[in-house]
Amino acid sequence: VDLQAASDSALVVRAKRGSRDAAGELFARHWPAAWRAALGITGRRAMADDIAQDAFERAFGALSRFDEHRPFAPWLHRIVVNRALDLLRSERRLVGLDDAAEEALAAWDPDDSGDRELLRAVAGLSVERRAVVILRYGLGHPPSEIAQILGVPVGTVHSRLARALEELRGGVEGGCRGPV
Amino acid sequence: VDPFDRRVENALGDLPGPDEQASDRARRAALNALPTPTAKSRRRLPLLMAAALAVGLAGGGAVAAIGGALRDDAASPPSRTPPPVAEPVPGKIAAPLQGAGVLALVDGKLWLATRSGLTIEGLPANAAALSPNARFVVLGIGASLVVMAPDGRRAWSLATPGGIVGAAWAPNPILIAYVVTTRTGNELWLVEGDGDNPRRITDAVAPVTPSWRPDSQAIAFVDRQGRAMVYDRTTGSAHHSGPHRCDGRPLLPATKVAFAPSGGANAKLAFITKGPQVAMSGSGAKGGGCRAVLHVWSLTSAAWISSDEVVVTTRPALGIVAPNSRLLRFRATQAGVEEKGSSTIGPGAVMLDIAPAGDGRLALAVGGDPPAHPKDFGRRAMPPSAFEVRWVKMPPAGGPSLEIRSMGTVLRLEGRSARRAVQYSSAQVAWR
Repeated sequence: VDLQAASDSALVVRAKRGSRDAAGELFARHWPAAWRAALGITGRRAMADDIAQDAFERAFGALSRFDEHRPFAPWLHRIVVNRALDLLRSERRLVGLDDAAEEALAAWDPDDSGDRELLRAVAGLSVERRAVVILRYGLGHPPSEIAQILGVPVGTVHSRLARALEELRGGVEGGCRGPV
Repeated sequence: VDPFDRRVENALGDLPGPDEQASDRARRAALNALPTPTAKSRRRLPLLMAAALAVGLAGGGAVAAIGGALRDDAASPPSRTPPPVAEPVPGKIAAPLQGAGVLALVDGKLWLATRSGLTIEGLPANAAALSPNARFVVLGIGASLVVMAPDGRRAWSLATPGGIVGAAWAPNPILIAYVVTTRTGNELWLVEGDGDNPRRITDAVAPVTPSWRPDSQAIAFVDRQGRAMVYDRTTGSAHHSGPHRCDGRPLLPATKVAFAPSGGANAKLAFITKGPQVAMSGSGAKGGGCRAVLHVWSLTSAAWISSDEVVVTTRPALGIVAPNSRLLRFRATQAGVEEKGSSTIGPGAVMLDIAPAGDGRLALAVGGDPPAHPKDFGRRAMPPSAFEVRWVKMPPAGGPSLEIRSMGTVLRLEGRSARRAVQYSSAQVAWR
């Protein structure tokens, strides 16, 4: 069986039956995005490592209860986002805000390339708004799916997105008046 | 599409990816978390374990032993069966296969390893405690409280009014409790997990590591008179927990306190004393009732293994006549305390501290027993300056005595001269 060509649903079915190869393919397919979501929300590589790993452990541990007819990615991303938000809310940050922003920037932009100005502004968003921005623009989820992932009404997603974009525009010097 | 939307999309679409090491580690952990295999795949299990064991044995040496353990971790699905016996790994410590981290603090030096990748070997420290998921560690170094992050960097540090004697991270994990020694005495302090808002709770305590109640709403400590006290965060007051023995006689001064791992506001509290006593109480936060007391000679440590069972460790009580160090398992009941099982180790080794895991295993700190005369050293099973952390089986409940067999030594330190015949004055082991 060509696992690389199999659908997520088929891989979940095989993984439920004990196929570590199928589970490994699911991991390979979804690990990078899950990790980037964790990084985007927390801004720290080490924390992203822990959260994304923990999310996969929880997801695979609960795989027998997962309905394979449902899409795997939103379910996984829900676990990632909830873990990241829980961690940030309960433990708070173990470094100061300024340090966090600098670390986030360094983690996102180690080669001194990319849109530093915008990434700095994203790092300064509240975690709730940051999560919505990452899910929408980093992972490409539509608002209705983000609403399901976060367990909030679609209207809340739209309003958080609008306010986040407004804040980002304000945070980026001179706003954005044309193609970049 | 709004140009600014596209700009955000481009910026976030270019986020860097995870590094290879973290990806490999996560892949192993994720695959190990899969549900128990079906009958078809279970047949492959012995082959996988045999292959992993063969890889570990073929490597040889300390590095290969660690590598073998990691490979075994990757190959084996989750299992309640103990890991295969591993050769001692000199000067190294490894995170337990089914735990998040382990630490040993021996005579002022710290060794620790966590699954998130933090490793410390031989760092001078007076106190140490892992966070609930072993992602962070709090250290007492001189007159500073230091928290280290999973990447090994210092997350924050805090100047304290004196040297730190003991620290404990709350299960919730918002708070850290610590005891400092100042010019005028010992003080119990609290600080938030991010280093904010340090505040003194009381200045009349003994230099004993505090213990958190499982709901994180109360802290047990020993006061200046040696009484086991409980500070309740909800009321902001401390009270004497279990003020008297059930037979009316006075309690001896406490040297260690430990809350049971469950029970909420009514969690039981155990403490060991300077004399041959382990006291246990079900009185909980209100401090009423009396203490059931157990008499065991030469106590070194005590720890809860469930909401009503305690294990204690002892030194050899009578030298040549009774040369073994003992591990005893007790259950607290309404009628008192009853023995449920025991194990022995020795001669030539002393059990100094104990840390139960939730899977029926114990992490046991074992130090060499100093001989009465240097010539005796050759007959000793373990050099007096050696120190080990071993995984051992729980003593059988109600069964016969069991001689302890190491289930994989994860730490063995022999940096001291055996001629000095140094007896370890302090040892702490913990795991998450």
